[in-house]
Amino acid sequence: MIEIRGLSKWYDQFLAVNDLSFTVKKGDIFGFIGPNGAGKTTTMKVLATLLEPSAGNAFVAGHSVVDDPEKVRHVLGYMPDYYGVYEGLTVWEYLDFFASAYAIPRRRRARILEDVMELTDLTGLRTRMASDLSKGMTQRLCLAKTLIHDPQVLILDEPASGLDPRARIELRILLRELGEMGKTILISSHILTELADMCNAVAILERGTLIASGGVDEILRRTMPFTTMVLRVRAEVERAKEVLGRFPFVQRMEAREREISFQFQGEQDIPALVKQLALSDVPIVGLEEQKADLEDVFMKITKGEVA
Amino acid sequence: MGGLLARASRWVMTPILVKELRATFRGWRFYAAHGVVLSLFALILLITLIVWMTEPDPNPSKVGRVVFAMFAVFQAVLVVLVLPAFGCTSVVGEKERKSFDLLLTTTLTPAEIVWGKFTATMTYSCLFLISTLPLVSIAFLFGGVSLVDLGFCYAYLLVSSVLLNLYAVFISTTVKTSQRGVVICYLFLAPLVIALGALGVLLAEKYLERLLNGRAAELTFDFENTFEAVLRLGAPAFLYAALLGFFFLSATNRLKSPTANHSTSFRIFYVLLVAGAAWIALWLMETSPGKMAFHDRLTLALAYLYGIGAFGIFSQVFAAEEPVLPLRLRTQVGRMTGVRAALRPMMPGSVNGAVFCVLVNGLVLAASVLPLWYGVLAPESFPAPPGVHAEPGSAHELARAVPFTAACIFAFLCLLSGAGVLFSTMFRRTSTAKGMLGLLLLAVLLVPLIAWLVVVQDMEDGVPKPYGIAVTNLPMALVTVWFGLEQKPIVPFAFNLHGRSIPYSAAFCGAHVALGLGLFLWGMLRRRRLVQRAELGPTALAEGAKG
Amino acid sequence: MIETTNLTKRYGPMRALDGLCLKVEKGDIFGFIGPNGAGKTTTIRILATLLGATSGDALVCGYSVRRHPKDIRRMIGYMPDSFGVYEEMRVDEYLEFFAAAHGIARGSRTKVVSDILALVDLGHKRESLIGQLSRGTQQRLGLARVLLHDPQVLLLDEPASGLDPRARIEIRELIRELGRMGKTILISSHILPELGDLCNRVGILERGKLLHQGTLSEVASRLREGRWVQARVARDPERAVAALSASAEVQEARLEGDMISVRLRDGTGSVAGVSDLLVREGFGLLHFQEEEMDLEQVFLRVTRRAGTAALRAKPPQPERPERGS
Repeated sequence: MIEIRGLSKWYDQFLAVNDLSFTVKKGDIFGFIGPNGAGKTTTMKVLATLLEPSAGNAFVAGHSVVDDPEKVRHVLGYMPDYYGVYEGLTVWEYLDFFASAYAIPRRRRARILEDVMELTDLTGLRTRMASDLSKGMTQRLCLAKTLIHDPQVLILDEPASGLDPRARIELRILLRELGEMGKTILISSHILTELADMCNAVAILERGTLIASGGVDEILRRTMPFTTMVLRVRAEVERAKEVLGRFPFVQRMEAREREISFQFQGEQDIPALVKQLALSDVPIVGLEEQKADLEDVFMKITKGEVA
Repeated sequence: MGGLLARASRWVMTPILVKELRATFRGWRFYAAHGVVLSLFALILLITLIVWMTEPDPNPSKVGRVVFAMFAVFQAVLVVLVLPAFGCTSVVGEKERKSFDLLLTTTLTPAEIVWGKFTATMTYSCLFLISTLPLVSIAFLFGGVSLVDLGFCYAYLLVSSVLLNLYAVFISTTVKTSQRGVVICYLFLAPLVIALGALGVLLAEKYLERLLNGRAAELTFDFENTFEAVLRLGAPAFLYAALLGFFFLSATNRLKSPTANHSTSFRIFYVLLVAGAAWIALWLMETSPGKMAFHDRLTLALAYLYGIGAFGIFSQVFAAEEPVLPLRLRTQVGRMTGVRAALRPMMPGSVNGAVFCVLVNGLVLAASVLPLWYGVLAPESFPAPPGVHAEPGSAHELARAVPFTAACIFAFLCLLSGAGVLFSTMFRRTSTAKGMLGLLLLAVLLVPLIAWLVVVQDMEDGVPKPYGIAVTNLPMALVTVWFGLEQKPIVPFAFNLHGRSIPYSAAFCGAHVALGLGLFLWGMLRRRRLVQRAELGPTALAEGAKG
Repeated sequence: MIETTNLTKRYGPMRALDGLCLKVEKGDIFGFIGPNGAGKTTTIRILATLLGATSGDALVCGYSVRRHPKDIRRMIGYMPDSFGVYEEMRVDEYLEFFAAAHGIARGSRTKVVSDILALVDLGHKRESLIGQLSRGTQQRLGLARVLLHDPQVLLLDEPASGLDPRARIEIRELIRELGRMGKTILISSHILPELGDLCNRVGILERGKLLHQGTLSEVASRLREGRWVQARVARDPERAVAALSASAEVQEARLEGDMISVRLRDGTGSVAGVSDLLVREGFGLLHFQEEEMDLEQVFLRVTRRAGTAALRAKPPQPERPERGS
């Protein structure tokens, strides 16, 4: 749905984006990660046809942002990280303006506005002044405006910034709903824990260069090939360690008080190991696979040099 | 049918207009400003009235006329000084509030955005103008003015406010902050206002005369003949339309995405401008009653050519656009169909565009020179019979000024075009390339002129010797023409080359065209190298563009 | 270390804080969460002696905010969520200025600054101009600034706001380090997953009222009665559920997707017993963990029931039909 090919962008002497290439498949919720100044906002603006690439090209739903920007704008909804709302307009009027800006015929407009307001939970706020809204409501308003023309692709730059916990969770639920409706979503954020929860694929950028991209699970497997298991016992730590030691696939065993962690690669017969432990009368109170998360991956593969 | 109506109504009640109306009339600010203006206006009229009424022996119709004049003046001040303020922050205000990106990513075209902002400001203007209309009834109480006067006044105000509002919107697209927008808008307002004033005077000279002398004036466009009609109505209308077109196209260009075509509209505009101006100049020459004096006609023709030359320089600047990467060029140009396919040569960055500009200029100049030449010379003296030597100062001799000037201008434009293509490959930014082109222009114009002034001491019979003067300059050409007008031998300069006498005009044109061609070819070579490097990667491209 | 008694702050008719009774023990890393406008920043500013309360009192390190604000200021470090920096100053000059402002003797200033720079890992940037630092580095500098006078209590209002992933992780590590050094830290943040990782106790605020404070497991157990265990087996989950339900250790067992949720019988049930059963019966144990609600789930449940006094009172005894026998 989104294809970026060899994209580069110079600002005078500064190379903001360097030969970027990756693909976002239809229906993906795609996370865009990287430190400040890594080139995320620049790339998003190029996709939104607001910036011209210095080299390379980008395609949204098959249309080139360079050659067919008008067609791209029909299928794309862009939500920047900083934006202003017009004073003196109510929520409904604000959305009506954008509906007419997107050339939605008047007959269908009322219906579409109702649907969009319901989706973003703005129905109760329709007569409130757009400039009087709290941060969370403004984000919802901007999201509503982005959805008005029913774009197939959404590009959201830090949509959750400044939102309180409840609003963040609700946003995640809404985005998942939109993903289920078949939309492709590209979202940039600094909060890796949230992205890991929501996205099925990510791209990690540092200093304008792509460090990794692809499905989340695939990247985790590639970067952290070992699975870590944590075993908690009520007693008999030494016996547990001895039992574990009998299995050849168990590696890097570490014991701390009554918690033993070990690593293994690939698929192994854990139930058999557990059975052995039980037969050896080891009282098990906890057995958990410690999932490597996006934060570990990020720390491992980025160098931490900020531009 | 409904779809067509809907699309048409979109251009009347534009989305932007609807939004602005909703927002403005909700707040109290507009009403407050409006109230203040109305009260002030009424107060001024009342004071005028009282002052005049207390005069000894007041002539009622005179009082009426004075009040009306005051009314008209106030309205004019409003239109000129107050109302542009709405427009000059319209676009830049959006940029400052960071709501502009959101607007750009909708499917509104830049033309629709500019038109929308314009209709919004026009609506405010009309509102002020119409709501102050009842105040004129004070003048009507006393007579001395008729509805026709009012109609004319308002027509003029409307026409002025259209131009000034479009100008304000244009300014707001060029500046970076609202403050600067306001300052620059008012700074350059003066020449526009003077032009508008001149327009009004031109149109209604007789009418104003009658009005000021206290006679009832009938507004008829009573032009005595076609010549007056063209001079007083046609020419100003043409200039007005040209200004409107320029402001609208410029504003639209500034809002376009960087990868969109910026120059086709301007190239078409230029061609229309040239054609229109030629037509008017011709009409003036043809229809002038009692036949315009020869020198006047010559002057008019030359003025036209110089004007077109100046505009031509402007259109050549678009040849200095960034070099286009192969992929973009191929796909963009290749996909055009129908009418747009015919416009392919005018596409930005395409080499054809530069060539086309030169060709268009040449063709247009040639096409307009012939009738002008014809208009300059009385029919009976055109063409000069073969073998007849043109006497210095004769009509024939002088009339050669027209094609000579056209050829010089064409040659000069060739030079600019070639330089433009070259510069577009030398600098990373379009503005730098265009700036360098401007510097080249200045150098080519000024340096030889200074050199000539230095050498002006060396004169023979009041005619300067050409020694050491560079042949390549336009001012030189201008000067020789001027000499010709003064009944001095025109283009007397020639130099010997292997025993043949070659006039400086030929050398001048030849050198310019050759230089222009050379620069063009050099630019083409560089362009090819850049295109090859672009396929190697962005770093190579950046290095290539630097050197 | 921090204790508020019926702390109330009113702005006209609006109550920003309503009878807050907060308690933070020494050495806690206390997470302070709530929607916008709940009163978190107000509370922190009162504790930092920058704002006066309408009624009630707060004790910080034993000193009252009303009566001994000066003493408190010596013992706390307050980092607001947005602070200006002097762009033209160098890092070491900046810290020396604040060291002087805190009354640190001239002789020891340099050493203190060096120590703090080493602690926050900014030693290599000591001569850089602040205006040229990245946002993350500036935040770390802000943290360094509040550590200069070695306060016992740290009040951090959104310390990671606007930071990129790496900087967030580094700040979290730094805060954990400070906790290990024995400092008491109160953090307010919107990013619940990070807080849940960092804090040992939390306080949930909504509309000026403290809905809950305590450890995560305390609140989880209050929201969902009893102790629950989550298990995943390799074979025959339905039969496993049946076997568990029949066991004496188990009050209730049910299958949710591929996860078995088991509620232990109060008093007699043991975690080890359940795991033992699953293993011995040959169901093949893959995952076995006592249920811990994460902070986001807790927050959602708690704030949804905010209107009622459900959490103030003891959880009511469930009316359940007796199982088994």
